[in-house]
Amino acid sequence: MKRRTYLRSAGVGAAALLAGCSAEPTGTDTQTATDGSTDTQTGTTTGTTEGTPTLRVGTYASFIDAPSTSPGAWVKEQFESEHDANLEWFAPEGGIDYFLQRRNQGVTVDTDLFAGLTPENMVRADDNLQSGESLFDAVNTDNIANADHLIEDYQFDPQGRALPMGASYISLVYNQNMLDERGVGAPQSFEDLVSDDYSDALLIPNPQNSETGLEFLFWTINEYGEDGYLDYWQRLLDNGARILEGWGAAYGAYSEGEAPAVVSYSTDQVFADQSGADMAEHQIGFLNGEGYAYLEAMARFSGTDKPELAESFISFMLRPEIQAEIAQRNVALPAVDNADLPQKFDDLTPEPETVVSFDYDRLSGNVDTWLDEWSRQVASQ
Amino acid sequence: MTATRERFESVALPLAAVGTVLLLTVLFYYPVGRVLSEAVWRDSGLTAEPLAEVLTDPFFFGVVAQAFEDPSILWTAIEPHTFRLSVPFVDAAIALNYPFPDYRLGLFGFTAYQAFLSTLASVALGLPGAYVLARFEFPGRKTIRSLTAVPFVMPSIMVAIGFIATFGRNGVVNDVLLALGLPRIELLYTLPIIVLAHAFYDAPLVARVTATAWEGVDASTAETARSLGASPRRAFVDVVLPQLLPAILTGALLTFIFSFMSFAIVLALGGLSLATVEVWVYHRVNQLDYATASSLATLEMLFSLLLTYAYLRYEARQRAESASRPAPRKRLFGALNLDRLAVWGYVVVVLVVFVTPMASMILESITGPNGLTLDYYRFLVTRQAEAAEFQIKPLTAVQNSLLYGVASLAIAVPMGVLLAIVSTRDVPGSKLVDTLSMAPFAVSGVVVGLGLLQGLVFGTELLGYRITVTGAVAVVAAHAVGAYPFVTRNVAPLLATIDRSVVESARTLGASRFRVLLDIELPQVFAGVVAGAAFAFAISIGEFDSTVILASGSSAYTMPVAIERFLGRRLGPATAMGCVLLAVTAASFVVIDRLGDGRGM
Repeated sequence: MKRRTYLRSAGVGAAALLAGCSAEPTGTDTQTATDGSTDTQTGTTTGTTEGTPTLRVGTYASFIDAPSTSPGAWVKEQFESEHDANLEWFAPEGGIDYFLQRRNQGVTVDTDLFAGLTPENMVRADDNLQSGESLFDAVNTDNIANADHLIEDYQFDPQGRALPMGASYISLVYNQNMLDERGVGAPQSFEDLVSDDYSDALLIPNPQNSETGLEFLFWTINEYGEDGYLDYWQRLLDNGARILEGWGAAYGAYSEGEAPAVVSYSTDQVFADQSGADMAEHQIGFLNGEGYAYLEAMARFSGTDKPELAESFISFMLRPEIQAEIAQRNVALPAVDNADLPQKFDDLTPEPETVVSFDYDRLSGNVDTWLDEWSRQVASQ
Repeated sequence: MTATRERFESVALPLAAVGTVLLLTVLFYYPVGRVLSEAVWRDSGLTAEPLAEVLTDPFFFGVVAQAFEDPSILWTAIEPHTFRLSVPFVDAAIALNYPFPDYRLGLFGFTAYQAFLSTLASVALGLPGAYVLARFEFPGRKTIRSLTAVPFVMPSIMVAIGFIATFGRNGVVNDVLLALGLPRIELLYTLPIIVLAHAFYDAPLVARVTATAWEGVDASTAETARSLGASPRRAFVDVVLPQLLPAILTGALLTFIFSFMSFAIVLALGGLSLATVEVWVYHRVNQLDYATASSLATLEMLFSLLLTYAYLRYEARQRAESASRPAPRKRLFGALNLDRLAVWGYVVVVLVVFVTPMASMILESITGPNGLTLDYYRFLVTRQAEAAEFQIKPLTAVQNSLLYGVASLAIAVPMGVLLAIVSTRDVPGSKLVDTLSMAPFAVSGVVVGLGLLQGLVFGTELLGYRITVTGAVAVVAAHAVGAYPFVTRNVAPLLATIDRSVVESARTLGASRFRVLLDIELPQVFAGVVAGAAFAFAISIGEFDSTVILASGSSAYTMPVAIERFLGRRLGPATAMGCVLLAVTAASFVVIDRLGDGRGM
């Protein structure tokens, strides 16, 4: 790495620039970069010179590199100190689709497991797999310590491939100061959101680009059914709700005071507390007393040559004290019931009376249809 | 020595041509072709089905698709409309009834409509800027001219934040209106704000291109007209404007194509209800429905290329004279006359539309929940010092951006000039080559990204090897491919004005084609080369779609990638990085222009 930096700054960029090209013989699982490049992005999982195996774990970017806090570095350090292994994080643009596309194109996945898989990710991977075996394989929970403490509500895969890693709740985040100006209280129900009191009041991340928005869409389907959700969305739009690019655009506009409420997460106050923000601007609203569970799981890629090491990683991640630490660093709820969290964290992460979530079977074969119908209706305005 | 030089000169152009073709094939035509082929290729056979499905779907093509089914819609949809003109302050209104077709636009229709409005707005905002830059003298003129490229590199999320802070409910504009006792305006999530955001990006482009042409207008032409008794307005309309028109239309064409392909800014400021075709391309790609995505992208591309072709036919008929003596500049500061008053009025508009959004972004980067703070810049410093290897370091992003910018400029300028030479030759098909050279602007960024992912990152099997191309080299090459059309578009019109007899005599006297280019042609079109180079650099610095895919998992990331990564619940870290980008690019543009000026004629 040092050498590359030197070359670059010395202005002979060409040599370093070429490091990204490689030609690998096909038809074999072992990979050798013929130009001797040491670049990591081509996904060499064959390990390092000392014979220490490398576990390559796919995840989403904010798990390893968020501007606030992220557990990635801590997890790597802990895991490596306990195991004779290297942990390599890999957060490709496009998330799980990246791996699915590789598999469909007949290219090796080169990654051992994925951390941060949602139910709809898994359904999509199965529904869109063009041929061959599932992208993931089942994990024997007998080999996973603490597996019997996994929270039942958070399990979503009937085939036992995905093991929950954490959760949070999709909820409203609202600004009480702005609602006070209107002389109204917190919205309590889905129907409140289509009433005059809350006109031009809600910002929603686009379900086409955002898991947050997509799960909010599922939540409305749970409330109004497949026959009624489009009608509800029409009323929502007529009442001035806005569907913005993604979670970042919606939350950003909310922060600027464009609307008194945004669809986001029930863990919002933890961040607000960290930055010393006015808590009145970070109130959590559960509609009808419900919260839609945003679930994240770990799943092992089929085809990994390190199935045991991958299981050790899953075991490690589910240990109560690791779960507690990850929960705080990732600002999410633990997936096991025996993780001890500080009282303050509990106070800042309210939980809904009723947990709503669609499991694998409810989503399977439906997500594309729901989203397409919805998209056409909204964009035909 | 001379022999070596001569040999080099004789092979330089053919070599550059081979290199250009190779680069375009590997980084553009192959990856894009493999995705777009999904529109016409199914189960190893040609099919028209995906394209036909899109073309006959009223959701995409509105009334045109409806008319396929039932042509009577064309006349039954004409409804009586009422035009109501309310008279202010009194409770009276004039109503006018007239029939007007109530046609459904469809996604394509709406996209073209908003692009058309954006083009009008960009030209309206850009032309006065060109006038000021080309005809006035004031301290800092050259610096301001250099800075016109800055809006072009701003990531959409930064522009969205700046626009919300300026035109939002609690934005600067509304604060001023309320303070003056005027009613609040609601611009966000409407068509006008999207049009304005597109003008933010593209009006400076129109201004820059037009100003370059304006500076080249020979003063004697207008003076002759005046001496023959024409009024100043008449002289302008009849003599100056025709010489500017090709440049204005170049800017308009680029604006239209960019606005037509617009995506992120539309969703961030307008919302999904104002979706464009590109929003749908992204949506279908996300759903792994490549057939529909490719069909939409193919139609987008054909539309853009047809426009380009029509424009190039027009451009070819123009024969602007190169200037021997530009008109003297007027002083901006001085007794207030109508001319200067108009300019100052324009300055106010510029302050609102361009300066306030960027100033708001800077303010955002130093404002915390409890007032002014440098926390977000401290965050950047801490991240630089403590980031793990898999995290993004701000300074690495800056270094990469600058390195890639310079490297892509070094590739894009020769490529662009080469294609400009080919396209200005009087041979059959040269206009077609010219049109195709614009393809990187005409193809959906989403499709280019997908093609690069599948064709280069995942790799392609060739002779038993899987060839992958990722990291820095791929990023630079992709940037160069995305940037060279700017060079071509800036250079080609100027190249066409060069007297061919001079070139031919030099060739007869034994000069190599390369020597002629270097000694005769380039010096005359240098202003265009510099303008093209500045925008090529801007494209490289601002590029996000391809970069994020090619740099994924490596340390080849750039400033826009870092901004995206630093976006969280607080806007601070991302806006601080945005301000770093702003400062770095502004400085770069000034340097590029100074270097260009130093070498100019």
